[in-house]
This record gives sequence, structure tokens and C-alpha cells, in this order.
Amino acid sequence: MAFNPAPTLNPSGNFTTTVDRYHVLSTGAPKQIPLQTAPDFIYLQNIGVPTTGSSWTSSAAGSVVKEAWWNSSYPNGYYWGTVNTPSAATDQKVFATTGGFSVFNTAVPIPYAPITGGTSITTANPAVATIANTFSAGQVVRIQNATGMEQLNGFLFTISAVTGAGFSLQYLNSSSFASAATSFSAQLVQIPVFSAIPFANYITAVASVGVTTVITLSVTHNFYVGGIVEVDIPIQYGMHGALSNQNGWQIIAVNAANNTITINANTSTATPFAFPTSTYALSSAYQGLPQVLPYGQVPPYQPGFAQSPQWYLQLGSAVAGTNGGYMEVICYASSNIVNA
Amino acid sequence: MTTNISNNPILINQSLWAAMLVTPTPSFIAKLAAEQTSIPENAGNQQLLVRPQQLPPAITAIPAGSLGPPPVILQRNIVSIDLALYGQSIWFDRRLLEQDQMPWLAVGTERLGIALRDGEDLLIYNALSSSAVQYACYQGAIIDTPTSISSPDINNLYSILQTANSPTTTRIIVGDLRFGTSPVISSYWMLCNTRMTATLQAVTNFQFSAQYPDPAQSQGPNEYGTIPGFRIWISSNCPISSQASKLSQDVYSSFCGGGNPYAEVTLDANSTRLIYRDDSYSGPLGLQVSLGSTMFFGCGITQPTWIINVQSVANYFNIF
Repeated sequence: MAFNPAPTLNPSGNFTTTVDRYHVLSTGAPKQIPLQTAPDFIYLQNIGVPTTGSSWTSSAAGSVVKEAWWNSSYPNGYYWGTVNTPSAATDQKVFATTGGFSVFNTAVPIPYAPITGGTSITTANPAVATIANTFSAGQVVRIQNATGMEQLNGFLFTISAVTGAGFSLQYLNSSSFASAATSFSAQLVQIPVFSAIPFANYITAVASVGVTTVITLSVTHNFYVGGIVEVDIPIQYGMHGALSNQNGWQIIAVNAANNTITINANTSTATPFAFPTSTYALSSAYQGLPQVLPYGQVPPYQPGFAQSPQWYLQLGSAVAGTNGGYMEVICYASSNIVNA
Repeated sequence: MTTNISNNPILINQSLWAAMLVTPTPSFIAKLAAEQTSIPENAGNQQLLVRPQQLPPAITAIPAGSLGPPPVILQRNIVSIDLALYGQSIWFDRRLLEQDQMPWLAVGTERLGIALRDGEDLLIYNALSSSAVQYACYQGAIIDTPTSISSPDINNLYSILQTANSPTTTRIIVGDLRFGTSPVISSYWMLCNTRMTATLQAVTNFQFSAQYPDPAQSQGPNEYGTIPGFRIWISSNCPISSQASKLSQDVYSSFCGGGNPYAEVTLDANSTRLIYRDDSYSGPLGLQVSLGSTMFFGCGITQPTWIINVQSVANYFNIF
């Protein structure tokens, strides 16, 4: 099939401009690309893996999407594409409603449906969840309807080591839990990032280290040294009360690898932090999840942590390319003229 | 060809009346409790809000012959809020403006202005969602995690805000000799989604704003009512987390608090700017005019212990 040059654009649009153009290295998994603005039209060409050849061969090559289009009249997830016909040396056009392009703004998170059918979450460090999924590393999921580990219901976790059959809850050490989860659901979550100050986060561990306290957070955090945080731990977790402070706590260190913050609180005599039991999590006395909240910062002022709403393009599983391959993604916007 | 009058089609006379079709617009209540601040022009893009830290209570008795009271260190916390520029524009074909009955420029101006305020509303909710502490209702009638909102949850929230020394924002409405009314205590504010109205009505001691001893003291048409300790405003813009409960029901984020625990920042005189460019800018034939609107906007929580993101499920059956 011949190379299809830049597509014909919306004929009703004038002042059409290319607003974003990306040369994307694919990991084979869904990927999010920051955009300058909301596009009206997207064109993607899957070039392929340099070492093994182009995706544009005429041989039978699975159902790889060779090129794909999307316009703003399509719902998120749709695409119109050229796809290799499975088990044949021909191509076909497809119009698909899943696995395609999604354009979203972080001010208005995309609602994702929960995925059911999770079969286990292990008692390990990190905890490993088994569930058929299309998630990718670094995304955030909400655990729902867990049995055996009811304590995890409602928690958000950044996930790692993702395969089609499961993922790790990167910052959760569940070794001390009484039992593994035997079923659960997982919902992909786009956390709100509009924040002039870091976003609130959940606590998975608290350790008293000398006269300081190290707090492990469940979602990759954006706190910073010098920032002030408020710690809110329900009574059933321990450490409740020891970390109440009307002035907040100053962060004196952060560890990106472990996703921890260290605060200048001496909790050496406090009841150690521990997740409540599953039974307690099901009781009417259960009061929810432990959290860390941004509270400000101390002088000197440290700039550069503000995040404004941002447009993103998500390449779904069908248009995510092949691992190690390159793709050209071109986004167009047009200023439509209102006419009769 | 000859034209015979009797063969002519029926004459169609069209007339436009824009008001016949009302454009639905949400209630923009998110800025209800926002502290309004602005940065002067040419004074940067970051607003710093300062809070002195609490000092320890002065409970040290000073012994006779002492040199003086024990020293304490006065410190401050700073919350920084960044400004960003938001906006959008419409291009009009000049022929449309000059031939069509619809007052397009007026309509466009109205829609741009409403879209700007709509965006501001959503951005505030987003900022609150990202930073406010979450409280999951756990004593409601709808069993889930979180449950629906309930009277014990409301009482608990009231205690939490009182314990955080958060000031109530509305004053007592004293009782009056009117059937069906009862006095309203000084209250905190709560912003709820319109889908929660049936669930709110079912909460013990819920009272419509029309049942206040003096209904004129309700704060605007969007004040729905009160549950003792909280005055409730509703909007369809208030955030919903789709299928986010333990049992995959929609979870509603209701924000409650006291005082002005979050701040909205704008650039002086730039909270709304309408920009009209006539056809002379569009090319040799002057075919297009443009209309745009912009705002400088920033938002952030300034008192984290005075605002709570109340998570709950609700009875709601959508037919749209």
C-alpha cells in the first residue's frame, strides 16, 4: 500500500494548523502524550521497528494498525484505520470503537469502567495483583470490591511490572496482611493534577526513624523538600494523634524510588502504623483511608511545582504500535468559521 | 415558462425567536467560598498567601528574678498559586452576521462568557479534588464503600470542622411563628451534586430552604436546604467519580467547610476579557470577524483542615 500523505482536513475549517507533531517510540502499551491544545484531527502512521523492518510490508503481519485517523466528532477510544488483514497479505479499513485515540484534559478526568475478575492480590513486597488488563506501568488504579484484603478498597495505587495478566502495587508492602485477596476489581483513574500545590495522597506505611518519620505514599507523589503537609490518619491505623499538628509538618527529605516523604515528627513512642484487618474494614466503625495533604511551604519559596490543566492524547492499545517501533503522530486544529 | 399563481408552493415565512430554545446552563457555585484575590498587572504570575504558624500556649510561669519569658520562634507557611491564561474564540463569516436574523455576536458573547465561567467552575472543583482531604461516608442507608450521606456522617463532619477551629459561614436564622419552619443554626457550607437531592432529602432533619423561618435568608436560588450544621448548595457541575465505589456505583464529591479555605486568583481586571476583532483583520476581502474571551485564573486550597471532600453514593436513576 502506498504511503498516504497528510490527510485531507475538515473542509469546513479554515486557518488549519498543525499544533502537535510527535515522533513516538512505542513500548507496545497504551501511551499518553501531552498536547498544546485540543486537536480537531489526528493522523497516526505506524512506521515500525527499525531493526526488523517497516510495518508497511505486504506480508501477513497480524492485525497491526498501519495508520489511523480520528476527528473531534468521534468519541474517545474510536479510530478509523488501515489494518493488516489477519493471516493474509492484504490490508483492510476498520472503524473501531475501542483501543483508539482519546483526547482529554486533566481538568476533566476520563471516567473509566472498572475491570472485574481480579483473582488475587498477594501478601508480598510489593503486592502483586492478578487480573486481565490493558493498563500500563505508571498508571493509577483504584482497588474495588476486594475480598480477603478489604482494607485496600478505595485506595489508589501507582502500578508497575504490568503484564496483560496483572501488575504490582508498586508502593504497597502487604507482607504483614493476614491473608491474600481472592477477588477484586480495578479501575483506571486519572487523578486530578490541577494543583498549585502537590496533590493529596494515600499512606501505605509509616516508619519512625530516630526523631523523624518516613511516610510511604500509594501514588507517585509530587511533594518536595521544604513543603508542609497535614497528615490525616484514622484511629484504626495507629499513629493517629501522634501526627496531628495545627502547623503541619515540614518535609525534610523525599525519596523518589521508594515514594516516601520524611517529616520532622518524632513518633518513636506512638502506636505503630498498621493496616486494619479485613474484618475491621467491613465493620461500621471503619473510617476510611490515611492521607497526606499539602499544607503549604516554609520560606524560602520554592517555585516550579504548579500544574495547570493539560490536554493529553492517549494512544489506546490498538494504536499503541509495537514495542521498539516508531510512530508519527500529527495533530491538527482548525478555527471553524460559523457560517449559514 | 409561464408562472401560474395557483401552481406556486405555499409561501413559507420564517421568523427566529431565540428565546424559544433555552440553552441549559449549570449553576456555578464552586467559587461560593473562595477567597477572591488578584495580582496587579506586571506583578508576576504567582500569588503567595501567607499564614503565620501557631505559637505554643503561654503556660510557663515566669519565676521571680527571671530575666524574661521563654523565647518562641514565629514562623509562617506560604501557599503559592500560579496564574494561567484560559480562553477560546469564535470566527464568524461576515455574510452570516449581515444576512441572518440571529444576533450572532450577542449570542456568541453570551456563550463565551458562560463557557468561561463554566470553565472556572470546573477548574475550582478540580483544584479542590486534587488537594482536599477525603472523607468517605460510612454510616449511610445505601450500603457500599462509601455509603450514602447520613445524619451521623453530617454530625461527624460538623465535629471535625469545629475541632479544626473552622468558623461557620452563615449565621443563625431565628425561629418564627410560621407553620412548617424551624430555626437554622449557624452553619458550614456544603456543595453537592444535583443528583444527590433525593438522598439529601432522606437525611434526618433535612429542611428545604423554603422552610427557613425567613426564606429570604437563603443565599441565592441554588441553596437547596440545610441539614443541621450545613447549608447546602447544589449544581450539576459538582464532581462525580464514575463507578468508583466498592460496588462500582458513582461516587459523588461534596465539598464542605468553613470560612474561605481556598483562594481564587486572577490578574487585576482580567477575570474576564472579551476580545472582538472586526473584519478588517481577516484579509483583503474582510470575510471574517472574530470574538474571543480570556481569563487569568488560578486556584488552590489555603486551609486544608477547613475543607473536606465528602465521598458518598446516592439514589439516582438517569434517563438521559
